[in-house]
Amino acid sequence: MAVGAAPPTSRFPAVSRGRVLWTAGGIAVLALTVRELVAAPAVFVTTVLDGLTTAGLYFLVASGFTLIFGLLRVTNLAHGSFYLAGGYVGYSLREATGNWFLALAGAAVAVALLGLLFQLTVLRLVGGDPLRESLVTIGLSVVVADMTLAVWGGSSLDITIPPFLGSTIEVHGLIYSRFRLALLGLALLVGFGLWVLLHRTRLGMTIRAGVDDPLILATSGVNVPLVLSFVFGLGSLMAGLAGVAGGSYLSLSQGEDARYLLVSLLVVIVGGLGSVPGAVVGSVVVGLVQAFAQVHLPTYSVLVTFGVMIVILAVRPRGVLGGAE
Amino acid sequence: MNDTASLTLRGVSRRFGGLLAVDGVDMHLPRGARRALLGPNGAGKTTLVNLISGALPLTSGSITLFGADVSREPGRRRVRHGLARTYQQSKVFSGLPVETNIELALIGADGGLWRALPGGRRSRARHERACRLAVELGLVEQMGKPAGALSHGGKRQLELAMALACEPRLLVLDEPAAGLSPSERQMLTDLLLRLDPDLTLLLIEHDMNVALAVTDSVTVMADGRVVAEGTPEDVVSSRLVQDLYLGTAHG
Amino acid sequence: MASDMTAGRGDQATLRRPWRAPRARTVAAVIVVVIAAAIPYVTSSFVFVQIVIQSLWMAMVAASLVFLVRFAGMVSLAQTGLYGTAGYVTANLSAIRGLNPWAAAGIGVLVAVALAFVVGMISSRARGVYFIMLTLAVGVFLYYFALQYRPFTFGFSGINGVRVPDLGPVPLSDPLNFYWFTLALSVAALVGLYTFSRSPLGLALQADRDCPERVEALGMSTTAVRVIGFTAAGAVASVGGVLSVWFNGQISPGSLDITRTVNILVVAVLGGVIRLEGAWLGALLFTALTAYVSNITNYYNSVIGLVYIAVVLVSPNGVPGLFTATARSLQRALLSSAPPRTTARPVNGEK
Ligand SMILES: Nc1ncnc2c1ncn2[C@@H]1O[C@H](COP(=O)(O)OP(=O)(O)OP(=O)(O)O)[C@@H](O)[C@H]1O
Ligand SMILES: [Mg+2]
Repeated sequence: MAVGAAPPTSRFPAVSRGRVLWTAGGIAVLALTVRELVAAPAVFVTTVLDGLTTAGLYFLVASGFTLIFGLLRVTNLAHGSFYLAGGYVGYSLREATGNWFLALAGAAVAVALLGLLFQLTVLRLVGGDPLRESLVTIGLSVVVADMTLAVWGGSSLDITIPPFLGSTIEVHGLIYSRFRLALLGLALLVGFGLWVLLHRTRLGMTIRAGVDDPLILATSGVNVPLVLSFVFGLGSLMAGLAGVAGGSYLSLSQGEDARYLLVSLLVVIVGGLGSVPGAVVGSVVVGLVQAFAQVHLPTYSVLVTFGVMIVILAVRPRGVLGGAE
Repeated sequence: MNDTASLTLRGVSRRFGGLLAVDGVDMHLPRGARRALLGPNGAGKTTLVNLISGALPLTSGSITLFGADVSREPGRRRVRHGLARTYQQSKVFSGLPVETNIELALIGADGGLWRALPGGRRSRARHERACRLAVELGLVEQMGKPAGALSHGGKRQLELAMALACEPRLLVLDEPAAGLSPSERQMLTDLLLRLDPDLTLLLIEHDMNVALAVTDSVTVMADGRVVAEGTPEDVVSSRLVQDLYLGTAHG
Repeated sequence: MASDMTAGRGDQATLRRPWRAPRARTVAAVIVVVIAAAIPYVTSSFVFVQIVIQSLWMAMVAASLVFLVRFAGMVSLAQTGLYGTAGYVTANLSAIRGLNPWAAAGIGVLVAVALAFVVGMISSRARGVYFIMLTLAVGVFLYYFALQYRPFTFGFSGINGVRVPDLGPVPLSDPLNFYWFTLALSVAALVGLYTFSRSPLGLALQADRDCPERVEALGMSTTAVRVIGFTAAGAVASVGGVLSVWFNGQISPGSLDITRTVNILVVAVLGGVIRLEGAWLGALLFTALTAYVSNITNYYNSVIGLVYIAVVLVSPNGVPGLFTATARSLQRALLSSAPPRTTARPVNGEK
């Protein structure tokens, strides 16, 4: 009973060090925010919006990655390639049909099929060893990169934005791109859809149980291979979706696959592996850090983002929402 | 303060989420003590060993090894005070030959990797010591085998060899007899009886024959707490302990 | 896996007939030496330069990866980043700042080793797939750094015009001399890595691969062991980086992009991640395959990706593993009529 009244925690370095660092980090963020707000409020708001819309795009990419990892324990190192493939397919569909939403849906489905095909053929063959599965996916990324280069060439392409989203919106003298806001909306919508799927359906319960403890899946009486394939397909679908969204807002070119693979890695490393809420936290952190770094230290924006990741790792080796060690 | 104490636990606790696996355990082992730690499955014995060895951080309480407060020291530092342990589930370096397993334990005992760096002559002496230990534990035939290829009993012996290689002053064994054959148990009992009288032993064991043959005092845990402590005769005859063990150890 | 690993240490000598093991090994060594000495004189200059010499520096980088996977259980995708760092520093200091090329190379290796130390510190707490992700993040980050940090790396086009220095009176720009030089460094790296793996530190590294908890319980720091192992491998990778810059005369972000990371992985996988020598065999196979396939199709990257996937799928022990497996089943087929012999094993330790 005496134990219930916990002794001063400061005796234990692991706890106190973390607290000190978090507090210091919080104060630093707060101080920076205040400074920015005072110096240039309009720039600050725009930067925050930039960060959040970027975060939306990152969430679209990374949530698929983290979902696949959570259930299948596969780090799909071809996830960036799925993004790029989705973007390219979306580009062609948009050019052919003139309908952006059709391009979005078509590309997402196409990439989902690609992912499913890969999972059903190659990954199933590897069978169960997460390390080898991850190594195989990196081979796929090379093939996809080479094929997209052959079909769509090396120059950068833009997916044309639907006209009604092409303009800007003005609120209180602040001008902002409609499309970027729509992108944020899309991310919120997808996030909500995922939440409903994971928390309000039987399938979702199964998936969450499997993420917590892979053994549960095997004993729960569900068709495990089917659930695994479904999740891999879903994760790929999200990558394809993100590819079209990202290709409309930025542009598509060779090398973007590596960029979005890095983004996915950073987001899940920061947020914690395998959890969708972790992907939300991770994308917001990475998105905001990147937006502010681009304003203040454009040359070193990658460095700054990376530095933040390292600091977070030093405090929480498993990411912000990754649970204690 | 008390230089006859090997190990002193004060209010040692460990929480896993909502479960208090070890709950305010006090224990005092004088030098040379032979203590058995008994208790039903899930009593928190292994968790307590992990706390003592530093494999798990404490939630609260303090641990003193030979007069030094080690509550905040990582596991590898506690080894320097003369602590060695074995694991309930054998943990050996399965890809390395048996002899290398023992030699690594010797390297650790000799003050860690930095002292071992020059190698050379010292490594030959180390090899000889490893061989002597292997002979003692009946592993000599298996010296070149990867440890992963040993039988279950072989792995248990290797565990013990690695712990003894550290020339410990406090030896903590977590169910060393589990899964051993009767003859292997007898060998184990003999070996434990031959240990240096100055060495302090904390032995977790479900097999009463082994436990009571080699220990002179007993601590009983249940639900994370110490529920009885005394001589083997007292404890074994007490009602409480018999109740605890009904349906677990004998069931 | 476990039995394969000890095969090289002579522990299995008792399983073979006692006189046979040393003989097989000596024969293999002699064959390798003869081939290595003959290669410059029997190959065309294209094969010699583009396939053989190219394979030597790739093998150095791949060997560092094989070492990490084999002895430390760390699948590091940061090795390309490390070799690229050594390459960039060497190129910048010698070609842009006009420093003595040997000094530039030395500093390049030092910087990369220091970076390996830091990366080791960051990632040593992670294991398995998490370690892959962290090191890949580091690798991709270094690629973007090379692309973005123009003052030092000159962005997309990279640094050109790096000259190969002379070794005393011997000009290394002559392919034959360069070949002997890289070959000597390869042997040094191989011997160095094997020596390390047998030292107390190397043994502790292998122990950590098998059971980190036990390593701590024996009074050794897993972090220290892992960081030192990672740094040692980084040193070998960065020597490979210097050689690559000298060989190519230039370095650009393309030298450390994902494709290159995969190439190194392919080399390691082709060679089988069992013995360090496999890296050299894998590299030779890889450069030959690239040269051959790029002759017949533009999609050689796809072909390499598919070959890589196939090897990972079919043979965990790479191409040598494929051979031993085939040899074994052949032997079984041949012996199936004869009385079964369980003790005789084919010579499989050496390539
Ligand atoms: N790492 C952990 N995380 C969560 N709970 C744990 C952990 N380790 C142990 N427990 C729980 O703590 C309790 C005590 O476990 P412990 O292994 O210490 O028991 P024990 O006395 O050694 O039992 P046994 O005789 O079966 O070995 C159990 O309920 C167990 O489930
Ligand atoms: Mg136990």
